[in-house]
Amino acid sequence: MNICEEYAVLIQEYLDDELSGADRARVMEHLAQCDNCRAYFQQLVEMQDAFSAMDAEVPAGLSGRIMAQVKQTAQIPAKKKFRYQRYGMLAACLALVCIAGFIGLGGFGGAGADNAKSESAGADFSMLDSAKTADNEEMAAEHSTNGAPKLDEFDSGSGSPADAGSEEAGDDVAKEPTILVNGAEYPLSSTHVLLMLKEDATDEQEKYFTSNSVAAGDIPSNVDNPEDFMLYLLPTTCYEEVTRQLDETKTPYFVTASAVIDAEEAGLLVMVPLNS
Amino acid sequence: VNQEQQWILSAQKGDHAAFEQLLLLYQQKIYHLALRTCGNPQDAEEAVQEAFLSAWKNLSSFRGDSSFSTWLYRLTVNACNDLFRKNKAAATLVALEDEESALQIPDLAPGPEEQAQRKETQQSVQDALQQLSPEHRQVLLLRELQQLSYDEIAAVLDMDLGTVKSRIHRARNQLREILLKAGTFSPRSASNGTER
Repeated sequence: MNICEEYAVLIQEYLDDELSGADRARVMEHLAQCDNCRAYFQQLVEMQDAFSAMDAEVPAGLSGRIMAQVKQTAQIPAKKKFRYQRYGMLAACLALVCIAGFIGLGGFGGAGADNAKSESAGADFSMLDSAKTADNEEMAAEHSTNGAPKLDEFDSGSGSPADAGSEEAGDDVAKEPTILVNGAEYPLSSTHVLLMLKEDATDEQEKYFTSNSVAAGDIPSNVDNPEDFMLYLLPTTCYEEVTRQLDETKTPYFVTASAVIDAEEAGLLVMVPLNS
Repeated sequence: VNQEQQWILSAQKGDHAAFEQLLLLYQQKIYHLALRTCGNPQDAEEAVQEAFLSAWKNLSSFRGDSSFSTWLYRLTVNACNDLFRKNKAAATLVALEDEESALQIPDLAPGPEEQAQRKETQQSVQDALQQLSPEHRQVLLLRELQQLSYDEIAAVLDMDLGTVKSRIHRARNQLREILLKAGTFSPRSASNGTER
């Protein structure tokens, strides 16, 4: 059957109720005259009728099963707080000092109220969904820093009161992402963020980590207990060594973050063994 | 603030009961979409669970830029896609016999003959749907089952309007071709000018 080319698209748009009055009239007029297009139209209508007659009964108990899962699942806070913890073996192997402090990045996939409490002066890590909805203004607003925690306080989790941070201006966001390490500035492009599972991580946490959602540039923000994870910022120059030293059963994830990180201002205490 | 928004706000603060209200409000639509997308009740249920669980977990990232239903549809489409990828190896065209019982006869009850014919057409369309590519099936279902506008579909799938439009049209034409070959259409529309 030959459908008039001019009307093939119009007829579909007519069926989808996407046409203006004038075009509707044009289509109707044409259908009255053209047998082929009318047959085409009727077939499509029959298909539409079949769709609208379709129905599906929700399986019994589905909502109950879903709610049972929901009740066991923590919501992802609008802003992520990562508390950096000491990882003995790694620190020993690499003479690393734990990273503590605050890294302010944008929210993952946007963020509403900041519902994660900054208990203890632990590090704060929210991530920037750089691929999608980088909300620069929000990022800047979130970039205000809490004071630098002392390393021991940080580990004991005693929670030193955070100093009021200074609010940063939005235009700071534009500057080249860098990390300041003991006064030396490194472009973030040469720095990798290493996220590792704690040894006593639960199956679910592990499952999250091994799922596809953790890919380059994607920091897991939907981990239920961010405190259970550690985060190290390491320059690319040493990450091979890190991997080698790691327990082989644990998979490290390297994530290239894109963000403004000012370690000093944020109270980051970082000692990184640089091979250079 | 309407009831739905109230529920969303409460659920964002961790209120299970409020989330359950949203779940009850949307589960039928979501399940139906998943069922026709996945083609079988088992996968559909898995996709629905995944979609709602994902909604719960990520509720704080829902800021009302789109309607809640659009957001849910997107999560559902994603869940179905994930499942599809997972099942790809074993992706056979599963018939929909399993939920035959769920079929409903249209309200305006026609004569028994026409009724039987309609039911047959409906079954044929369901079967034919499973022969479309996932991309084509998806847009067509959002359009025909969920009655979304081109704009809304573009929002759900994060696609431009032109792509949505051409994809729907192509999907529909493909579906029609399959049905023509199967001799599905009623004489009323098939007699007129068709080759067969």
